[in-house]
Amino acid sequence: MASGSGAAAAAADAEEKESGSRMITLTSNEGKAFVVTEASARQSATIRSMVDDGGCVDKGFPLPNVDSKTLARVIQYSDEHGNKEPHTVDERAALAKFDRDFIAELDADKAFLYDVTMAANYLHIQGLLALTTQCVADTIKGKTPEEIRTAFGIEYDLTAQDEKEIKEEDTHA
Amino acid sequence: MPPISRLDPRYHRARGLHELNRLMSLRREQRRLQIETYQFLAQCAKRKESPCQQDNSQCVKRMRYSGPDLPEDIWHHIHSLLPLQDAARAACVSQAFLRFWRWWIHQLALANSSTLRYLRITFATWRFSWAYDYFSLASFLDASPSLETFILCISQKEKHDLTFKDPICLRQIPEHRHDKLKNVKITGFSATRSLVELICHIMENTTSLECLTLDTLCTQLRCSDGNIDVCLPLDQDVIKGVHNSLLAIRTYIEGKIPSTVKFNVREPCSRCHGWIGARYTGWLRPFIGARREQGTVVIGDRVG
Repeated sequence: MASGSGAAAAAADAEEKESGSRMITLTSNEGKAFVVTEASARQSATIRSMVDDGGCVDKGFPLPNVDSKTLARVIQYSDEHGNKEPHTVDERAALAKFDRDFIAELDADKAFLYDVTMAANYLHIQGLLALTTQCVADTIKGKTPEEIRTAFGIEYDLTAQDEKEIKEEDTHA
Repeated sequence: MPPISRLDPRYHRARGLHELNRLMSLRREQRRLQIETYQFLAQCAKRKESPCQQDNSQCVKRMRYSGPDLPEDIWHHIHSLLPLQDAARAACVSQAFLRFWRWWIHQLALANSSTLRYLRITFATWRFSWAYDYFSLASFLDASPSLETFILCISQKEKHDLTFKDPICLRQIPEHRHDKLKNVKITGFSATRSLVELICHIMENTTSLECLTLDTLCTQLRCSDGNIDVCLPLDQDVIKGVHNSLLAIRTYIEGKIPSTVKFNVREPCSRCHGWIGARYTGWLRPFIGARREQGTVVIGDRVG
């Protein structure tokens, strides 16, 4: 009897696992809890491997490297990509549009873009990392050094020696 | 002192010494690059070891000088996404950017030898935490005018990011011609956009190509080659990946291959992994059937 109900529970558990309908709690470094679907959480290879290893699903996952603002934004991305499977051309176009709007918003705030990049790297969310790093690369493309400095708020710190070396390298090339 | 005649043995000795010096400095360069790579890998490995401890701050080397607040390895990745001209221009931004540029040029320098004939590049699972842009390897090829054999071994799990449903626009670099490259072999081929772009680039710009081999598995060990008795088992994800890889080859690469090029596609073993055909029927099956006689499949022979 006991074993029978155990098997039924295991079957229900397996079914739930299969459908990805479990909910997972992610906690930011400020202690704020975010409840997401497993499908959304699985966008992160870091969390995926912990879930698959039978890790602390019930206890949730503390993420001391990610603050609440960044985590909320990362979840926005993984919800969109994890919870919906695009089937039609329209759905794929909608997802591509979501990516464009998502990155355009981040592009306006470079410091936040870095935070999201760091979080994507830490959580191993490949799609998001590709999106943010490509955004940084696109910002650099076709710009003069001065424009790049302005765009990223970088101070000019090259020494006379560096400048001399760059000039020499240029003449060799 | 008059110049030494070509007939004089001293001429050849001096020339030999010169060549030896060149080779030694190339070796030193390679060694240094290896050491740097190992340090980089050690960093990555350290970070991977402790995903649960959530403390990667000490492992991630922050930029020491002014500049955007991202770890160096991410900046290296961003630099590899840039066209050379942009990366060169960005070198004048700050000391940090100058270092990234030098790192990138250092990588190119490895291949930038006019005498380099054989180049083999290996990507291992733990080496990159993100999808590598294989198309950037086109720069290596462009920098090696004498290259005859190019082997790319990918043993990391790739995200098969091609969807097949929409027409895709592949990146191209015009004006690059390779007229020495004869053999290209890629093991661990996957339906990854940047990899398909790299192969299409090679197909369209190489006049001398004789043989292209795409191996859908990353293993070198196959029972058919006689080095093991039974092939290693494959998990379901890998089999699914192979299906995608073959679809990518058929969709994007097959049509670009000139008729003069011998084109080999290597698949999972029909003897040891024969059950694949039963599970993934459809168009994968004829490949497996054909393989039985030939050892490797010539795609053009496939019917249907």
